[in-house]
Order: sequence, then C-alpha cells, then structure tokens
Amino acid sequence: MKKILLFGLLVVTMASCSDNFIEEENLGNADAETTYKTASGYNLLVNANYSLLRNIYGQDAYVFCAGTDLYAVGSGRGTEPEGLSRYSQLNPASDGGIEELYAYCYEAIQKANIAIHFSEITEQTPNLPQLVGEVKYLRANAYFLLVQSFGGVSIVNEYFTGPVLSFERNSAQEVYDVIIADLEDALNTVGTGAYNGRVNKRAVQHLLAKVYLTRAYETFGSTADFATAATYAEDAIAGQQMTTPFKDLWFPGNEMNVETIFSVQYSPGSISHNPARAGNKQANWYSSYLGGAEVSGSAPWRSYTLLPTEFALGLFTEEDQRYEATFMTEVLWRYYGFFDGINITGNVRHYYVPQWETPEETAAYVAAHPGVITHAWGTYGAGVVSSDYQTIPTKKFDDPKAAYVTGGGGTKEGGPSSRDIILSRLSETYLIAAEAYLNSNPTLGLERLNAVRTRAGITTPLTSYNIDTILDERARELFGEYHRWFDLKRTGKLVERASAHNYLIEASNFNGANGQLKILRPIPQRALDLNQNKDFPQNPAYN
Amino acid sequence: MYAQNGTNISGQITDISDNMSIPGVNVIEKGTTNGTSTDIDGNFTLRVSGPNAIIVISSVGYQTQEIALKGQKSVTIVLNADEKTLEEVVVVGYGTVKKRDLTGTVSTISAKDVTERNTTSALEAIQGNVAGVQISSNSGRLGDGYSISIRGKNSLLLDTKPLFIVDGAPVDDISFLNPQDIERMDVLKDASSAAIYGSRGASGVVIVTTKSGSASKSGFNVNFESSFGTKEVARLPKMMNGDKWFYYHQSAFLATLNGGNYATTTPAQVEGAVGNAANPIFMQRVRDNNTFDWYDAVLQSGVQQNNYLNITGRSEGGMSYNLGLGVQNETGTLKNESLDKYTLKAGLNHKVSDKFSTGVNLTIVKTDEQLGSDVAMRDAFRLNPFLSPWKIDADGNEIVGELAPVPGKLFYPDGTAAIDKTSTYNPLLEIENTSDEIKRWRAIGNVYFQYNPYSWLSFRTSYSGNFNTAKRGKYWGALTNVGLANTAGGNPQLPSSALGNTDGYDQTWDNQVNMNFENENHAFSFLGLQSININTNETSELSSRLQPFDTGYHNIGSGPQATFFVGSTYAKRTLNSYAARVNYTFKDKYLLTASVRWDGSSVLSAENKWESFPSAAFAWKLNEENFLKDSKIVSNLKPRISYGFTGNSNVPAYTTLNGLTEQTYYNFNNTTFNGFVPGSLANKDLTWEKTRELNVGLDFGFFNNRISGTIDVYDRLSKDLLYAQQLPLESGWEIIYSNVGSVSNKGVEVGLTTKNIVGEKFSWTTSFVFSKNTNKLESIYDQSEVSDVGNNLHLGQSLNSYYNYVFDGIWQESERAEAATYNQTPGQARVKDLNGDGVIDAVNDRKVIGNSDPDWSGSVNSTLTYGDFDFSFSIFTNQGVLAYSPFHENFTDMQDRGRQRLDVANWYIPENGAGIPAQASNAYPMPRNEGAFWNTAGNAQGQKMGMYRDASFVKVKNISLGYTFNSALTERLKIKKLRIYANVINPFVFTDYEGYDPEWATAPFSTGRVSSITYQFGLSLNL
Repeated sequence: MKKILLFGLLVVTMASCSDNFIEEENLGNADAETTYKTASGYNLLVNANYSLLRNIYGQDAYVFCAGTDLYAVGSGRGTEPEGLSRYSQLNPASDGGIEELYAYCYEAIQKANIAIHFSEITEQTPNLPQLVGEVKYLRANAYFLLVQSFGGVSIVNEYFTGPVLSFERNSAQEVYDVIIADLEDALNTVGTGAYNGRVNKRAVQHLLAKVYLTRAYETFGSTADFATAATYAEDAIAGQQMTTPFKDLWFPGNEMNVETIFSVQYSPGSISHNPARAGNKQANWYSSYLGGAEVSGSAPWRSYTLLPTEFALGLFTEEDQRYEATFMTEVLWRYYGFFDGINITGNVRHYYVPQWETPEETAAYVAAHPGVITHAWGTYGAGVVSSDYQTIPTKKFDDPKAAYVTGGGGTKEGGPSSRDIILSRLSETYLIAAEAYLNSNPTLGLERLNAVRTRAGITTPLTSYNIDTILDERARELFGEYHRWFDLKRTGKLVERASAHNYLIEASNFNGANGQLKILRPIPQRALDLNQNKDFPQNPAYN
Repeated sequence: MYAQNGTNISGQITDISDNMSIPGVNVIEKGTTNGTSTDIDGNFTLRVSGPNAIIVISSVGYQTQEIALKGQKSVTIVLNADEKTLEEVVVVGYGTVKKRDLTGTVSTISAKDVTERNTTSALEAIQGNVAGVQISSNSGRLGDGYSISIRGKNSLLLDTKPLFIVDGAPVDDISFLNPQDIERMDVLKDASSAAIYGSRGASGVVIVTTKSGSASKSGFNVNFESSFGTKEVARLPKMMNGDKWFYYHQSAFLATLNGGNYATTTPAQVEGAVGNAANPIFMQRVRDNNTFDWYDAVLQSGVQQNNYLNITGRSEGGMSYNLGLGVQNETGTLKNESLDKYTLKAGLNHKVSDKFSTGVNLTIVKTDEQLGSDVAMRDAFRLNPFLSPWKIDADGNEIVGELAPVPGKLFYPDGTAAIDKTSTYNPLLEIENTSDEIKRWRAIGNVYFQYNPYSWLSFRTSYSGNFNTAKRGKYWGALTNVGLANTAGGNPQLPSSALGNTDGYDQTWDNQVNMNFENENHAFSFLGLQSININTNETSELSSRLQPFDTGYHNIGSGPQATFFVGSTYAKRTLNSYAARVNYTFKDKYLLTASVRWDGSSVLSAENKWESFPSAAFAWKLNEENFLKDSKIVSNLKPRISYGFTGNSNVPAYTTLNGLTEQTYYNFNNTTFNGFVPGSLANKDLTWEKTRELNVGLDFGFFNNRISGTIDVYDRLSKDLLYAQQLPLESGWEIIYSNVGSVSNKGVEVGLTTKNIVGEKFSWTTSFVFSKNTNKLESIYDQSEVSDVGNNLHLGQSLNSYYNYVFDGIWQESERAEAATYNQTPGQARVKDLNGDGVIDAVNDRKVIGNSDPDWSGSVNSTLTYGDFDFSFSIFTNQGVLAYSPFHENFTDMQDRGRQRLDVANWYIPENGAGIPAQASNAYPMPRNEGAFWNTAGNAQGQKMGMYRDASFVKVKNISLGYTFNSALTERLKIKKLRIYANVINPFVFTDYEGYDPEWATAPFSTGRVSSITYQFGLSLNL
C-alpha cells in the first residue's frame, strides 16, 4: 500500500507542475514585440528595412534595364527573360524579376509598416523621428517602383497581426499621393548631414524631384509637377558642382564619393556570411562571356546579357571621357589586372576599336601591341554572333574582389559584388532638373545639362535640347545604372526608342490584349493566384 | 499453504524441437497459487494436493499445457514452441489485446516479415505488404530513407508520416534500427486505434517493439545471421549516343544563328558555331565518334554486408534477456557513397515476484554515412559524350589518368583552347575531393517498473528516452568546383569546409493504471494514463573558406577570419497528456472499446493548447454465435465499426510567436549593421488539426483459416488543416502557419492470405494486398467555392494535384498561321486553349491535370516450402501515378545545347538551309525556340508543363530461395538450425517512366540516383 501511495504522490507532483509545462520556451530567438520596444531593438528593425533594398536591387537587373534602347541579349549566346527583353512573350507568368520586384516591394512596405507601428510604442528617443523618416523614404521608394512598373497597386499601410487574404487595387494617382505624403514627412525628420549610407534630406529631395517629374507625365499629373520637380532638384543640388573626374567616380572603392546621394550599401564584411550570393549582381551584366569557373579570380562571370546595343555605343564621342570609364576598351590578359595591377605586364589581349579611330591609328595600335585581338567598330555591340570576349565588356561596376559565381540563385539571392549600387547621384539630379525645366525654363535646363557634359570632357556646349537629348545624355551618363526602363516609360518613349534601337524589338512586339500596349508590367500571376479577391484586375494589355 | 496431505511429484521438461531441457518453466497446480519453476536442467519437484491434481506448464514462447497427473509421480513433458504467440496478440498502444478481441484496424508485422527480404531498412522490408500503407524510397541514394504515409495525405504539411513509437519513445524515423532487432511492428490505421495517441495520431501510428527479452525462451540461445550482397546498377536511363547527341547539338543552333532565319542558315554558319577555332579536339572526337562513358566512370557495384548476432535467454529467477549486435556495411552505386551501421541491443526483464516486475531495454546505434559528392551524379549525366575526363598532350592525345578540371573547357599544354563547350566540373575530381560525412549516435531506451498489487489491478511507470546526436562534416577540396570558386580576389584554389552538429533529446514519462474485471458474461478492463513528453533540439554550425591546408573539416579555424560563419539554434516542444480507455466484452461475442485522450501542446496558441480526442469501436464475433460456431466453412467472422478523432500539431515550435528568426545584413559606410525581423507572421490563433474517421471492417477466415483476411472501408475528414500557407504578395509576408481547410480521404483496403497447400513436405502460402484511397480537398478558408491556386489548393481535388497549362504538342509548319494568332511560331510548344478564346491566359487555360496519388496500389507475396527448400517472392505496384519529373526537367529541357540529353525519340527540327535533317515531333519543341510556355513555370511550384510523366510501375521487390539443413546433420554439429539462402532485391521493374526509377520519379535532381539490383547470399544459424 505504501508503494501505491508513493506512486500516487508522484503523479500528483507531476500534474501540479504542469501549468506552465506547456508554455513555449524560446531560448534561441528574442521576441519581436518586446525587442522592438527598446531603442536598440528598434534600430535592428530599421536596419532590416534598409536591408530590403538589397532584395529589390541586388538581383537580376532585367526589370530595370531589359527591353530598352541601350541593352540587348547576344545573338546565339546568352539568355534574357524573353518577356522582359522583347515584350511579345511578356505574360503574367513571365520570369525575370517582375514577381520578385512586386513581392520585395511589398515586403519592404510591410516591414516599414511594422517600423511605423512600433515607432508609437517604442522607447521615445531623440533620433526616433529621424529613423521613422528614413523608413518612410524606403516605403515611398518601394511604392514608387511599384507604381511606375504596374500602375495602380494596392496601398497596404496597415501593420498585420494575422493573415489577410484579399486585397483591392488602388489607382495610380492614390499611390502617388501616398508616396508624396511619406516623402514630405521624411523631408522634415531625416538627418541633414553628409551622406553616410542613411537616408538624408538630400536623398529625400532627389527622390521627391523624381517622383514629381514622373507624375508630371501621367494623365493626372500637371505642369506644376515639373516645377515642383525642378525645385526639389535644385534643393538637392544645393549649388554643388561636379568636379570629380568621371572615371574616379566609378573606380572600385570610390562608391561613397561626394556626388553619391543615395545607394544600396554593401561591404565585404556585411556579405561574408555568403560572399557568393549576399552581394549584388550589378557587375554580372553588360558584357560577353569571359570564361567559366576556370577564370575565377581573374575575370568576372558574364553571360552575354544586357549587352550595350550598337546605338548605345554610338552615343559616345571621342572627347567623352565616359566611354573609357564605362567600357573596358582594352582587356588585359588578366582582366582584373586593370584594377589591381596584378599581371599588368601580361599585355593587351582584346582591343575594341572605337568608332572614331582611323584605320591608321588602329594599325599603329596593333603594331604596338603584338598578339592583340582587335574587334572592329560595329562588331562588338549586342546582336552579333559570339565567342568569348566578342562584345565589349563594361567595367563601370567591376568588383575585382568578388567571388566567382555563375548564374542566378534562387529567392533572395543576389550576386557576389560588394560594391554599392548607386541609386541617386548628383549628375542625375542635374539631369532631372534639366528635364523638369524643358518646357518652362530651357535656359536654366541647358545650363544643368551642359554641366554634366562639361565634366565628361565635352568642350562644346549644347545650345538647345529636347527630350531625346535628355535621354541620350542619360544613356551616356547613367549607362548600366538601374534607370533606363523607367526613363523611357516615364517620358513615353519606350515603344519608339526600344523598337528603333534594339535589334530584337519591333513596335508590334508591344501589342497586347484589348488593343493595349504592353507598357505597364503585368501583375504577376502568383500575386493574382494568391489573392483571394478574384476581382483584382490585371493590366488590360495582359487579359 | 501447502496441502497437508499432498503428494510430491517430479518431472523434466524438454523442447520438442531439439530435445534440450528447458529451465525456468512455470509449473503450477491448477486452481491454486501453488507452483514452482524448472532448474537449469529442466527438472522440477512440486508438492501437489493429491494424486489426481492437474498441473499447468507454461513458459514464454511455448504453448501452455495442462497435464492431469492421474496418479503419476514422475512426468516427462515435451513443450511445443508457440509460433502463434505474436499473431494472437496485438499491440494497441499502452497495452495489448488478443487479436480475436481487437475492435480497431491494426496491421501486425512479425519479426519474420521484417527480416524476410533481408533489407537493411525496416520500412523497405515491408514495402507494399501492409494495406493502406504507402512506402517509397525518397531518392534511391544510400541513407536517404523511405517515406511512409498511411491512408492518404490528410495533412498539408509536407511531413505526413505517421507517429513512430519505438519501445514507448516517439521517434521521427525508424531507419536507424537494425531490422533484426525488431520483434514486431503494429500499424494503427483507424482513428479508434490511433486516438489513444490523440494529438499525434492523425497520420496513423506505427508501434515498433524491439526484442526486449520478455519473449526470450528459456536457456541460452544464439542466433547468427550473415549475408553478403552486391548492388548492381540497373535500368540506366537511355541517354543519347554520340551521333544522336551531335545531331541534337547542331540542331540546337538553328534557332539562334542567322537571326533565327533557319531557312537561309548555311552549313558553314553551323560549322562555325559548333566547331569554331576553340574546338579542334572536340571536332576531331566527333569525326572519330570517340565517345566516353561517363556513367560507367562514376558508377560502380555497391557492396552490402550484414552480420548480426543475437543471444537470448531466461533464467530460473524470472530474469530474461536479449542481446543483439549488428554490423551493416553498404556502399552506394555512386563512388564514394557509403553507410555503416553498428547496433547494440540489450533488453533485460526481471519478474522480481508475482507482484513486481521491472526491465530495461536499450538500443544504441552508431551510423557513419558518407554522402560523397552531391553534384557528381548530375554532372556525369550532363557531360556530353564527346568530353572525356583526361587532360591532353601537345598532340591532342589523352593523358589517361590525369584528370582535367573542366572537361568541356580543355586546353593544350600551351594554353590554347582544344574544346570550348561547357563549364561543368569534372565529376571524377568532385568525387575524389569531396566529403559529406554524417556521424550519428542514437540511443533509445526504456525503463519500466510494474506493480500488480492484486490480480485485477496494476500500476506501471515507464520512462523512455531517445537521444540523437549527429555531426555532419562537409569538405570541398581545392580541386572541386567550390575550390575553383574560391579563387576570387587572386586567391589560389583552396579548400572549404563546414561542420554542423545536432543534438536532440526526446523524453517521455508514462504512468498508467490498469484494471480488469471478469465474470462469466462480462469482461471489463480500464486503462488510465498520464504522460508527458519533452522534445528539445539544438543545432550549431560553423564553416570557413580559403583554408591553407587539406585537413578535411577538422581544422575549420585555419581559414581566414573573414570567411567564418557560425550559427546555433534551439527548439523545444512539450506535450502534456491524460487518457482513459475501457474495453467491455459481453459473452465473449460483443466487444466495445472507448477511449479519450486529452493533450496540451506547447506549439499551439495560448487559447488553443488543450484538446480532447475521443473514440469508440464495436466488434461482433459472429463466428462465436451458435449458428456459426460449428461451421466447417467459417472459422472467423468479425465485423467491426469504429469512429474516432485524432489530431496533428506538427508545426515547428514558436510559430505562434513573432520570434526574430531572420537576420538581415546591411552596412552604413562600411560599418556593418545587422537587423532582425520575424521570418514568418506569427499566428496567435493557431489550433489543432483534427481528423474524424469512420471505419467499417471485416475480419474473416474460412476453411480453418486456410483463407483469411480483412477488408476495411474508411471515411476520414481532416479539419483545420495546418499549413505553411503562402500569403498574398501584397501582405509583405511570405508564409504563416495556419489552419486553412479540410480534406477527406476515403478508401478501401483488402488483405487476403491463402494457404494454398498445407502439408508436411510441401506448403504454399500467398498473400494479397490492395489499397485504394481518394483524397479530396473539401473546403478552404471556411468556404468551398474559390480555390487557392497560389497555394495549390484546389477544391474537390487531391492535395497532391498538379495544376498547370496543358501541353498540347508542338506547333507544326503547317500550323504557322494559327500559331501566329497565339504569338507563337512553328517548333514551339503548344498550350491547349482550354476555353477556346484564342488567347492563352492563366485564368482560363490552366487546370488540374492530375495528381501524384496512385489510383490504387497492391502487392502479392508468396512463400513455398518443399522439404528443406523454401522459395518466396514479393511484387508490388502503384498504378495511375502522375509525377513531376525533375529528371526530365533537366535532361529533356530543349534550352540547353552543350550537355547530354535523354535519348528521346524525336524533337522538332524545321526544314533548314544548314543541311541538318528535319525531324517532326509532337513531344519536344525546337531547341532554343521552345515558346513562352515551355520553360516558364506554369504554377507556384515552379513546374513546367511538359515535364509530367506517368510513373506507374510494377516492381518485383525480391525473390529468395533458401535451404535448411536437415536436423540429422545439424544435430551432429550441435546446432539447432542452419539455413542458407540467396536473395535478389528489386530484380524487375515494369514501367513507362524513362528516368532513374519510377519509385523516386519526383526526387530532387541532386539526390536522385540510378536504380539498382541487389544480389545476396546469406546464412542463418541457431545454436
């Protein structure tokens, strides 16, 4: 009997301690609700908001660049997502980054919503308003990408605590209102110091200028928007002259130069957890194949994608310093030798003859460089059949320290480069101002435009300009930077310029359903599939 | 207590099979507590009440006998081994019932069934043998194991395997066990059986009982099993030969050369693209048709060795034991893959007195697994036949034995290009320089103490622990593709390595009380249970790159600090449970079982932690009724009906909390500032997934059980399915763990055993199994109108559905005009315009095209014995299986032109000016002109429409032939039994599937392995 008692006692003891026995015990992860209420925890959340820029910009560049007048795939080698690069095959299920752009922008928006939600209940510190302003800039930037790409989208400014399965579509005009509201809030609270990687007042002004400029072309925009754009651009320029030589701006390691206004930040230390994928892919484009894994460490991986078109190459003149700074016109035996000096004595292996060079000059060059393989002008743009090094490589974004890695990765995987992706810089602000002044104050506009050209080494100033002049200048100045599709789309020149200058695109490629042109991107099929609101409209060209 | 005027008797007890005396046999005078047991020589003496007393002789493993003394004072008793012990009792969870008294649906697998096929995996051993239980190999790769599901998919979470209970301890997998250590497996299939496991029973329960010693025979018994086998590569997919591949290779340039205007493309243009200046050796090899057999270079015959020693015994004092020692060694059919398993088993039971018993059962397993290279198999199949692994000399001759790192980028010694085709790394170098080792210790043990104060009452407390620690070391040497990628920033080619540790401990403490009451008409038993379970899992990992030495993964710190990566995790889940069960039998004909379990789980939301899982079952022993009792035809007839609830809370820990699980990386002006966010949205309302099931079954036996079997029909409905639900993109969250809908599974299972011939010299037994299950999604998000395409949830369809565009052949030249209306051209893959509106759009032109559930599956097992020979075979089949085939996605992709292709009958080649013979096809599009839909994933699962294949098959699982030496010989050698046998595993597969093996048609591309046949010889020795 004693034993039964003992046994019973045991059971009772057990049962009595069972109240909190089934509580969760999470030793490995701090709790968001508690952490974000502290000042240091809130900073972790803001840092995470910045990090989402890497998702949006760090991966494939097709949504920014493909299907424009400047870039095309190699003929016979290289694979670009056909929907984005040629339009005719563009459909809601197309891959290439449309869905990623959509998803990452909304992820950025939701993370910003979390930060804004917690800003009211977290420890109130003096720099909290600045952090909230930075987050609002990031949210506005995400909406801005969405509205330019897709037109009206869902405005989702709530902080979610549970699953929401149904979303409605807002108009583009409403989305612009949200963007401007966020940016105007940010303008008054973000820091005013020099750019240090965080959003500052100048970055907000630059983005506001661009948002107003873009809205000005919309049906619901107005000429006042051009004026506002010009004002914000002037605020951002704040009288700063462009004095740095163009090639120095782009030498690896100089990403934080005085002209940088805002960039997606990378460093070897912050990608060391996955050096092959946690960086960005900006150095992966704009070039012929330079070899496989066997060239690891001596040349970057390239894939015959987003090659400069003949048109793009032909935009440059001999005195334009940007040509040499953008393209690797001479390739050394060790490609990276240009940057790091290793194997510099290895001589030139490939030479891409510029359009202004005479046959005599070329002959002299060859004589001085025995063994060099020359590529005649007109044979190294996109569209020619291709062996390795057939088309001219772009050096502007090269990262000699990057791990060698081929192809794309999966979700949320970028590339190997730890150089910053520059999103806003001073010369673009000048060009925004020039564009905004086009119809109201062309004299001042020309001044802004010529300032950009002068720094590039061009001695004869322009005396008049139009929207094509602006777009050509943007092509030279901003080659490879992630603006081109948006520039053409904004200015209404997408169909005209893409079909005129891209050998793969006819104007008819843009013909979509319902007599509509495929200008706006299709809402990704996965978004429609997952949205339980089956009345969420697709863009009319894709129905 | 002894009768004053009793009689002394004595006797000896021996085993009928070998005439050896049996110690430890219980001898009791019937109707009294007066008894004794035999000594070491099998002798006993007992004082009984009178000369006409009756004594009862019992011993575990033998048939119990009653002997009427009728005045005898000395008796010699011969005991028969009780072969039926196992079959007659069924383990039902926290206890056993006699099979004849079972009310639920439980399939029992005996030790003999588990070892008959002589496989190294217990699940492979019973593949196809149990009605309603689907078992299939995950990938064919050594150590990748088998997946198992019972009665269809009733959960959306990927992991729908049943609850495994090994000696009272829940485990996630039983592949670590040596099949020889398994005494029995009981599969609890219906809800009334599984309900006693409540929240974990929804996918069924497999209770594995290892040999604990409690069933050990008296004396000292030694059993030795040994087999040796080779595993031969079989049924290799047919890849293109040199000629055909080169034809393909050339044709793949038509779409891109000359601006795609193939009508005017010249032979010279193709020649220039295919055999340009960088490819002299390549073209030479094409001209000579000099091909290389890559499959032969990386594949080999595997070896399989299995040795097992078992010692059992039972002593006088109520002590019995079982000791097992097993060594299994296997090598894979891909070089550098191996699996070694060492098992130590110890079971000890002690019946201290009539009232107390205690015991311990411990299994310790050490496995050493070498997974080798995860890319070698893939790359060997990808390299085209004109590439060889060797370097070349200045004359272009192969230097056999010197491996070239990148066979598709071959150079002369002076650095000029000889072949410039593809950057695939040499798989032979990968194999030589890669290591992926898992060293695992696993211990599972159980201690119990039982107290029977009265014959009708017992208490039992048992503690089970399951300890699992594994170390996985990965190493990529300098001469691998990873090593090559390490050369960034001017580094030399250097090694990298990584090490991961996992530590899991799962402990269960069960306390139970059992009561039994019985009289002439009524029998009643009660089980009360209180149980807790704690599961903790900890992991850590570390890695570095650019290591200066070749030290495997044993010196990770040698890499530069900037390449260090570290991480660690912790997860804990707890379960608190109470359960009760009553069994009531009236007149030994009408059987009723009712049970209820209450479970409280830590992983569910605060408001929803507790749930109850009731069940009831009724069975009627019709054959005990007067009208059938004396039937010569019907020997067993028992209809059964059961109804019950089971649950599932198999979500990861902490999904109800917004834990900061996702680390994000950023820097401001070169200073790193990392961030943290929740990786998924917490669900504060997460609750149980609950399954209710109605089962109607019939057990039958005719002609003295010459024909016997069971039929079960079931209808289960699972509600509040747990799912890692993908959220709308606009929400900004990827997933949430939530309760999304309900699914029904309805099916029928038939098991039939026929003893075709029963004789002294010749006997023949055959068993058939048939299962059919229909899976259907009933509702999602509280409605049944709108499917969730994005989550692949299609109302009215199987959870394993494939939803996509419908591949409709290839646009032919004659259809050019029609193709143009769809923005397509001849040669491109055509999509069926389901609604005929002239446009292919996602809303109207996708549908559920099938599912991966078999329409039905079945098996046949047959055993013949003739004299000293025995012969058996087993066949199983899955019919009506549609599989998304990663093999085809890779090897029939028409985008790639430099790598090897599956030898498909045809692909589209248009009439062209390049002199490449045109070829019609309605199966595969024109290379590099496949059309917008061929390479585009048509659904959220990333699947391409042209890559679904019928993966139905009939597989002969094994054929074995054995010979048992006759007793005259073995007796002279002082051994009890000696059998030798030959066994073939997987000798034949009948299928239309062209990939590696239809059984793992859906295996990921990197782990899918070739099919194989294992030939074994072995012996089985009892001392």
